[in-house]
Amino acid sequence: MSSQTEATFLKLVNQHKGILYKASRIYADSTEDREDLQQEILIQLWKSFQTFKGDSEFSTWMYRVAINTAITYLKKEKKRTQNQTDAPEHFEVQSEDYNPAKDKQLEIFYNAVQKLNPLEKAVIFYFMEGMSHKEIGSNLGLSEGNARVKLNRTKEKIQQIIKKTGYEF
Amino acid sequence: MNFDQLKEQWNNEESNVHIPDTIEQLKESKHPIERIRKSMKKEFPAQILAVILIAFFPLQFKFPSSQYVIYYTSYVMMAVISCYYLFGFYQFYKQTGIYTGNTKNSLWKIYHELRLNMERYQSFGFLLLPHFLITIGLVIYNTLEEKGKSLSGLSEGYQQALILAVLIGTLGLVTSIVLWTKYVYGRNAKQLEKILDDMDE
Repeated sequence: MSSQTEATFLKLVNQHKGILYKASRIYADSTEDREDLQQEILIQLWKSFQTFKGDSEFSTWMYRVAINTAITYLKKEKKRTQNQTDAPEHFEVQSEDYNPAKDKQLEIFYNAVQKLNPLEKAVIFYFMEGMSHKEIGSNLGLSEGNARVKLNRTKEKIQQIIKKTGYEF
Repeated sequence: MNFDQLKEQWNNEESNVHIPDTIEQLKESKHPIERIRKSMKKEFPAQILAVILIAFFPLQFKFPSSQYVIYYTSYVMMAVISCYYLFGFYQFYKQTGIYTGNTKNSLWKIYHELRLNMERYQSFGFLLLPHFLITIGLVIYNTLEEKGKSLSGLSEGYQQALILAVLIGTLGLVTSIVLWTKYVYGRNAKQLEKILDDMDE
């Protein structure tokens, strides 16, 4: 692909880098894994960019590639699950890149999300990004009703996880 | 738990991501599907070379020219069918845009491609068996001929041992091919299957 295409691509990705950051926060729990995942998403975005016809918004397309890449990044997923089994039930809020200025609630939320399965992570990610049930369903390939049910179950699950660890807000 | 409050914090969170200045700065992919593709790319020339080298077996094993017709009939069949399989592997390697659809469609596509490739690898491996059995048969026949013996002259015990050796060898090869494909593709396919099951619940 030409250098102009490359420049356009990098500019668009830069404008929507929040998607990259948040998807990696949801799907990876260490700084190293997050950087790896961001890298993978960027690679897949670039590889798929030739198929992007502009029929939909760039952000819509980017959401799908980011989540589909994160879900299928299976090796890291397994590693993380293994670590989880050994991890203590109580969250360590001050994670390695914890910044005291950051809100504690969000940090607790991110920690709880690590206990979800890949599909639940996608559901909660789209919800946090402000998408409707219809949009969540459309991105995941589910009906609006199924998306609603899955979102409610995921929210409940997060609440239960947080409660179990002794936090409540 | 107030999700609206969380959403507000989520939206205000700073996106700490490094976007490279050029695509060249991106590192190599570690994605499992990409790794499979990469190893396929490496295997591809080796597979072609192997098919070419197999053509020279009659010279290597000094087969009499009267046996060429048996050997090359089997070889041509194997080579033609190998091209079909190698083309299938190439198509999997070249495939793009598998992550751009909705998640369910994308996962189904990746899952089916993995399963199809597993089957392709297995049947490609099984396909080599008859040709190798013919080759080994000819080698044994020629070795016996050199010693002034023939297959019909072998004792019943030897013949049974030969049949048993072929059976064990075939089973061993089939098992190793199945285990190998399960090792390469199985875990990823199983994990994808689990996610797809979760979607249908």
